Amino acid sequence: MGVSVIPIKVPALQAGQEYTQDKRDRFNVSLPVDKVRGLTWGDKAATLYVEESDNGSTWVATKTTAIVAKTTADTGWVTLSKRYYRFRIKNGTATQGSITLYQQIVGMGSYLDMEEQAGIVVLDHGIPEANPVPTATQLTGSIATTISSPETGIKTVTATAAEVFAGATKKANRRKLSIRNESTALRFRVGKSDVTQQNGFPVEPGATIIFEFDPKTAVPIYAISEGAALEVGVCEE
Amino acid sequence: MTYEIIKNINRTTTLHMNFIDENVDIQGEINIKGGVEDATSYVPFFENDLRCNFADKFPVPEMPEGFEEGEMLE
Repeated sequence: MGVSVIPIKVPALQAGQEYTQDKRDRFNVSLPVDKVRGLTWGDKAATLYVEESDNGSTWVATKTTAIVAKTTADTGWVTLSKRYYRFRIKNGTATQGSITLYQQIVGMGSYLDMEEQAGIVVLDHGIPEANPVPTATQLTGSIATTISSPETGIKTVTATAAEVFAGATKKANRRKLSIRNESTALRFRVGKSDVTQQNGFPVEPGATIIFEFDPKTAVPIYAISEGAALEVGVCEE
Repeated sequence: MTYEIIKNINRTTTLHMNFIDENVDIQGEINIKGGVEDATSYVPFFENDLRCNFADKFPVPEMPEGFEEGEMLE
């Protein structure tokens, strides 16, 4: 029999305050949950409950375990009979400095794999109302993916340093700039607006240089030929 | 094609170029290191790049009257 262990983030509880885990649908995973077990440690006394429900709104305590200060409390394995289950901690009369809860699960006939565990952890929002609710975070600005059509074109690089871009103007919110030296004989150099034929970064004939940007920050890239005018291929994403 | 050069305070100039006089809706803008002379020297290159990159927006030159395919223009 395999056991999956899931750490539950419990906020430090004030005197008399409760932590109630979001309800868990024991059939909402590919392998239904058969048994659960809670292990908790707190530096102040509290009570740990394993509760079950048929409808997700009316709950019955299946197991009640006293948490003695600075001693690990163990609910033991609780075989589930209803559809939903959750853990609840009711704090005693002293504010907790630190409290932690680990939930162990046994699936019916086997154990939950890592992916299923991850799914359960993601679904855990069991923060009581009196405590801060985690702020949803949306990741944006990844340079790993292209989210708009690229601008492509040619640009003539001369002995006068000028900005490099593909279209009529620099692409707004660009994430990436690729410049290919189309010359078979001449090098050019890239850098900031004061780039020269001496201090710029050289790009060999046929070579490509790629810059990656934070889309929120406009960063101009200048190029200057080491000799006569030459063409470069440009792609902005 | 018409253009305008604006001198910036950071030793660069900005070249604005448009083709409104040719009824082509393209407006380009590029920053160039140096002063007005540097920007002026870059004008033909920028113009050529824009005409090349946006060739589909420019009208195709009409074939001279009486000229046939394969015939060389004198």
